[in-house]
Amino acid sequence: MQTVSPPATGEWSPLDATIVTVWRLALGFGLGPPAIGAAVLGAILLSAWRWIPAAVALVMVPAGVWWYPRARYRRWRWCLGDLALDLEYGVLVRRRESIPYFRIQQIDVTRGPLARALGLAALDVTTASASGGASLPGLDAALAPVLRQELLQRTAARAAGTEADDAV
Amino acid sequence: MPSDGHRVPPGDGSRTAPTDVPTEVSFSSPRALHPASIVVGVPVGQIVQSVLVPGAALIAVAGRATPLVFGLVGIVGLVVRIAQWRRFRFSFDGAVVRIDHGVLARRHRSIDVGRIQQVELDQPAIQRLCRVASVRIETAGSSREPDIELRVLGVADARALRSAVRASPRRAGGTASQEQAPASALLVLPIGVVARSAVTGAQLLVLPTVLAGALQFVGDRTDEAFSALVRALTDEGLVVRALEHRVLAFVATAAVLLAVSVVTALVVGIVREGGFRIDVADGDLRIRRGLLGTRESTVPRSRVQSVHVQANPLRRALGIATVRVSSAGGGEQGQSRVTIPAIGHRDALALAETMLDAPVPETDLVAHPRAARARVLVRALLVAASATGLGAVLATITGWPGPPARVAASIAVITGVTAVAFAFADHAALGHAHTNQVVAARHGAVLRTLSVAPVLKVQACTTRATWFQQRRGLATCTAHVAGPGGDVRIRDGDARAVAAVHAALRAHAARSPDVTPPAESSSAHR
Repeated sequence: MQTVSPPATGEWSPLDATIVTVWRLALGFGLGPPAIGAAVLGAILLSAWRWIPAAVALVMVPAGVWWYPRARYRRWRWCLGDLALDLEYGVLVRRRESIPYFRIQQIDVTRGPLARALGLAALDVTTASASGGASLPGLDAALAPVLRQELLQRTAARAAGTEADDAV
Repeated sequence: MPSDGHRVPPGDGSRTAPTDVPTEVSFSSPRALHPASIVVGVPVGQIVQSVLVPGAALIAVAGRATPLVFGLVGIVGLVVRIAQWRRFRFSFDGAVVRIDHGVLARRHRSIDVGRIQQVELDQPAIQRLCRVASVRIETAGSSREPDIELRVLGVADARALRSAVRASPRRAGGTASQEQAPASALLVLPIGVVARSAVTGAQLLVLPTVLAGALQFVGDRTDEAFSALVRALTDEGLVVRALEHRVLAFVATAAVLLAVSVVTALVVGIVREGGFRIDVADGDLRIRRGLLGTRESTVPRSRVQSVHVQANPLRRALGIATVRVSSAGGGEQGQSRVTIPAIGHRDALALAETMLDAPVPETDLVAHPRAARARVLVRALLVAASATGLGAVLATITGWPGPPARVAASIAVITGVTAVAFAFADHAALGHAHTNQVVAARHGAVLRTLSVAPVLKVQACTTRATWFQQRRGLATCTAHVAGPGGDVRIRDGDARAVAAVHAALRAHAARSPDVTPPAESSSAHR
């Protein structure tokens, strides 16, 4: 079995490129049926010129399903910093999230059916804040448990290095 | 320190709250709740949901058999409650609070005392009559429900349990001690201040909301009555006279509604907030309020995650503000229990500083760029344009209240002016500050809110920028603190300044030993 190691401190990493397929399928299944339904109903019920918007939507949806996941993948990157797990992502709305190791309360590795079929996993990192957690999708299935272990070690090291015994 | 005369100076031992008297009550072995729990332990809301609503339907269906069915349902309910009471056990061995409950499915819950964020002693009016009280114990989390709720214990037992938790040597936050120091009063609100808070806050909307709900409920009947009234007035030739006096009638109705709303708000506010006081004991903040039903919340001062000083336009004009304290424990209901009624604005800031044990930099907030005003203005003008378009369409369809062009122009002027005023007010409110001790942010055109959190309480930080913000060099940074609803959000700040705050908060949150505050922006201070 191939040995997987986490990236070095301060090194930015992309997601696994296979996540683009997962996002395309999810987006396609989410937007496809409503768009097709609207187009079919439009063709049956509306006159020709009123049907044009539905036809445009029918063309735009596949284009969006093809383009958006790729753009999203290009914007996604993550880094094990010296103090925190940093994430940067977002196509229209850019986000930067920092989860200090000292504040991590729980780490979950989740794998949906599609992600399992494609050898992917997601890492959900929870803090004591109701809104301050983060999710790192599109990790190689072999890397996710290694990364979880690395985060746990860094969390323990930060907790041991501070006088506070409680992150809350 | 400026004061309304209700803020008690440090060391004033003349006004002290009754302390919990240490008792010989032991909780180390599993104990049952008070027998009154069988009836009084059911929340009123649950009774309404499970009895009144199905009961109304039952009356309509069962006819003469209604009393019999009600009796059977009542007996079954009582048997279930007795079984639940018999199967409920709780204990506290000085380190862990444990409960075991469940009739068919057994549940066991343990909470280490070191994780407790907040302890509340709740005593609604009916529980006061029965001399029992509920104890709620909350840890950090996002759940709206308390982690452990003991409904109900005898008052002495409830106070003894709270004392035992506070005195635990393993407890973090407050200073544990077997010999409890007497509580010293930090804030005592006279009834006049409570009344002033009641008539300047959202409680004024209680009556109009109830009336609106009632009118909706009896809408059909109201319509019929209104139609009958119009018919009577028309038939008797009174409509002309009624129209002549309609302005007077409108003013009189509004005056009566306002007076009744004020009285309702006064009564609700005084009953709910009367006797409000905050005491400090062993490093804990003990907040007590209520005349008929009382509620006592205990929050270790070191567990305060953030403080929010809020004021609506009326309160700003009067120079008063409310203080909302967020702890990691408790959901949205829990937070409302630690909201201090409106006090003088400077007193509110002083109280916030006492709770955070750090200066609140309200006068040193960094102003946000003008681009932030443009962003708000664009959004407000979009709303105004939508309202104008909708008004024009409705006027075209219905022909009321006049020609579509005239209606659209009127709406455009009114909403446009409002949008511009809103944008200026919103931008004037925006500001943020960051020191080695706290991060602060202010926002709100109408409800102006100054949020302050100790930097050491920040759990994580997020910076986001929409496409519009990126073009204008703006960004929004959120400092997440433990628990729900206590985050500090710096909205539409200069992107570079926000990035500097993000980096500093990241280091503070990570408990990095070598952190420095970010360089101040070149923007003007206010």
